[in-house]
Amino acid sequence: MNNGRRYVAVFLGIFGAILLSILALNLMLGQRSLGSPEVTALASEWQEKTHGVTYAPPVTAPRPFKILRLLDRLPGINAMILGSSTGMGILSAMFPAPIVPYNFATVANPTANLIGEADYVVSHFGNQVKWLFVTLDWSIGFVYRSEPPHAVSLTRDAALGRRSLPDVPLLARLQDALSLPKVKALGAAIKAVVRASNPISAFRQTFFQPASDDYRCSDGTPAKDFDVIHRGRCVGYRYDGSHTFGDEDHLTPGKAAILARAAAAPSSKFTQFLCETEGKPNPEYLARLAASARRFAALGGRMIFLLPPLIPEMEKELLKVSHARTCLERTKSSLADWARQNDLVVIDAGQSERYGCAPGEFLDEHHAFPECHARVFSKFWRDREAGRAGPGLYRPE
Amino acid sequence: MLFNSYPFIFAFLPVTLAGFFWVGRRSGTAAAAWLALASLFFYGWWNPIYVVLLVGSILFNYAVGVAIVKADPAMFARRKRLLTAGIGVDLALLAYFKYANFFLDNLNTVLGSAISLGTIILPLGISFFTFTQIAFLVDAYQGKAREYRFVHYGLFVTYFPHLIAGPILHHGEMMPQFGLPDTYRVNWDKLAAGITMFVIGLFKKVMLADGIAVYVIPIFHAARDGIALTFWEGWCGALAYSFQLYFDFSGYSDMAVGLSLMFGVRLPINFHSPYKAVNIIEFWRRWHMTLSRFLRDYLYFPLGGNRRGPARRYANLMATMLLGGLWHGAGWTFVLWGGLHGVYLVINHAWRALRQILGQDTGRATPWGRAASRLLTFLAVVIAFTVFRAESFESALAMLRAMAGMNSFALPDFWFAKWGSLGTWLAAHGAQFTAASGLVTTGLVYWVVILLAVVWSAPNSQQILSRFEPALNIPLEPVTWRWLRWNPTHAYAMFVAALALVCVINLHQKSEFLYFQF
Repeated sequence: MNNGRRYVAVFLGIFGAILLSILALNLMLGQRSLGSPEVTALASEWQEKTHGVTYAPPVTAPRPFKILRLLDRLPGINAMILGSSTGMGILSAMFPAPIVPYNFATVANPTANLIGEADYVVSHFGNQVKWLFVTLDWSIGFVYRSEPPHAVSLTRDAALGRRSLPDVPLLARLQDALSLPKVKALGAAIKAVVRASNPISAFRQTFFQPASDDYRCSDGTPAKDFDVIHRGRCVGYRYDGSHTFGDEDHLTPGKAAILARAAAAPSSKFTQFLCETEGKPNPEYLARLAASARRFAALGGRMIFLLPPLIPEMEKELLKVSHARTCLERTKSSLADWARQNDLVVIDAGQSERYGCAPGEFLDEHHAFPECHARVFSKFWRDREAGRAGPGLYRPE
Repeated sequence: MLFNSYPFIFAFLPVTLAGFFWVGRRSGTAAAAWLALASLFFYGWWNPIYVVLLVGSILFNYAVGVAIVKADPAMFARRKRLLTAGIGVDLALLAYFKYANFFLDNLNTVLGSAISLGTIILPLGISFFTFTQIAFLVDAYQGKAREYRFVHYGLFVTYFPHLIAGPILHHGEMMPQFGLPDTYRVNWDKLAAGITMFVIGLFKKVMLADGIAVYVIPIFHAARDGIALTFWEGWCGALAYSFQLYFDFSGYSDMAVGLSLMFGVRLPINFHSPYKAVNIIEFWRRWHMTLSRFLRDYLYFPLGGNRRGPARRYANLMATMLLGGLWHGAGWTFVLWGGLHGVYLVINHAWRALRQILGQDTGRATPWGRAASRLLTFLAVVIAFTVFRAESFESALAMLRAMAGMNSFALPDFWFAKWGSLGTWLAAHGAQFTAASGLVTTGLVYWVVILLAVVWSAPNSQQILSRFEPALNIPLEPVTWRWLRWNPTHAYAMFVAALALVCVINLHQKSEFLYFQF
């Protein structure tokens, strides 16, 4: 065989072998990464049985899983946390007895949706749930949006309603299997397999089983992965509904300082969200939430709001810039007035340094790990007991 | 069909290649016919109706060419009439499809009329196959082309590697290759080199050109929409487009050369590190070389070239470049781009002449002198490409105004935070940081710096494959980065396979080649 012929053979051999492997593996994973009602139900049943950590794919749409979990947990809880990803780090252990919450916060859950959730909880679970903790995310613009509040249904049917997936032709599936996002997901799955203590078993679980075998997180909690990514990394929701953030890195002080400074730049997304309506929260949102809170209070419930923690010094940096300061002050004064007028408490954790939070307790500008949430709630409960957390914006002295 | 598409890579190419060599074992003529038919299929994938136009153009030009060749050399007038008729029909076809609406738009503007021919869809590659055939007719007239077999002529025009966007072929370098029996037998060395060349071209297109392309559109659209761009936004946009165009078109040319090599045929080189040129004359010897050759041989020389004194030479240069600009597109910005290059060339020739008059050696330069010349040439080319890319004179002016710093030198504010104490120091020393528009990002700056380093220092694809001589007419130059020179080794095969995989996985962002529109 001459050099050219060998070269072509090696090229085609490697190119073909890897390409076919990618196609085969991605076709085997198929639509599992997209999830299905069956997998969602399996994941929920598993968590109910084991109290372990898990989630149902896809990672970006955990709502059906969380609805099932909520319905299972409902008899044993008397509180709920409604919010977006910024509230997913709140654990049940942060609440004093007799409060037993389920953290229903999910990713990309705007205020418009929270209003629907709060209405639904008050209307349907008002006899069982007596505490509602609702996050008000101004830093990602949710409270300023103009979209009308959503109607929400938290039923088993809503969670498991079968999605109609189109019948995809083979050619399109092959093309999809070769696409960059699919190859990246496959890469993540293979990386997890390679890193596993028993790669052969991990390979079998990933590509031939609907879910991984049971395993233990570092704190001993049982875990099981129904998605094809994040295998063996204890990524998912705990039994109390909080998220483990198992694959997220902690910020360093240096990085946090840069992020805080960058957040105050006029072109940063935070400044732009903040000043989208000159800092004025959507009045319809506030009115609807106040109405829900009143209905809830009539049933003996208490609704508490939370402005989620931001990295230390970020708000101070925003306050240094004139246009951002005006918008931020307007947001805070609007919320304070609204809270006082409606006899509501809004925990303002924006300046997380007031609560003792450190940069390392964040994964980015506005996502706090449980350590920081614990500091916020610890101070809040202490001051509430001491009568220092009345209606209006609550900030520790 | 695009070279950077799944149907081409996984269906058309393997089937055509296998069929070509399988048929070629029995008959070279049949293999040539197979390749010509496959090329028509390739062309028809876009719009089957235009296959009729292409075939009609081939039949007509072949008939005229044969008639010219067969005509008695003494019948000068008849031969000239045939040539004129042939070129006239070719140009009329091109004028109708490419320039009719441009002409009418301008006429309507001048007369205030509203004459319209409706929408005319530009057939893919019409500029390329028209020029290729005009060259054939002229050469037939001048006695440089003899009568060829129709199947070879058909293949010469339709040959899919060059059909849509060149290189512009010369029958004299193609027909002899089509006539060789060896062309129709598998040559593993050529196949290996062809695959490598194709993958390099695919990488340039998919990863580099398409990678930076996402930054170009917003900046040029912002200029078009009247947004006052900063100095940095203007230059980043202009540089990004210059790199996109280069990697897009040279990537396409590399793919064409590589594909042709797989079929055992060497195409002429089309790019030779144009951004390394130290003057504009050299730039045109390195950029779209087959078009430069065509314009020189079939326009500049017939106009008189440099034989009638400096003034006539400069006028011929201007005329050639203006028409070259118009060839690229039916728009005044293309004409202006051609005109700018005409002016550049005139200045370059005049400068040379002046230096010679002053007794200076124009062939000698210091390293710093060369670097400065390269930079100056590059900046001139980038400025011209800004006009080339702009959708109107107004957009072009808006971009040039920004690049001249006439709007603002302000830096995006997110860099102030990112740069830490450097940002503070710069601000204290007069640097302005304003709200970023999002047009210039750190990612874009990285792209520009990396691609600048590549075009100025890395060897080009022909140099990488220089041991093999992958294309025709490669200029002799000392090879740099010898460790990168291609050899048909296992290690290189694995490396190229990895590159190919990266490209294939990124093909879902499939985009057309910029030169398809010309």
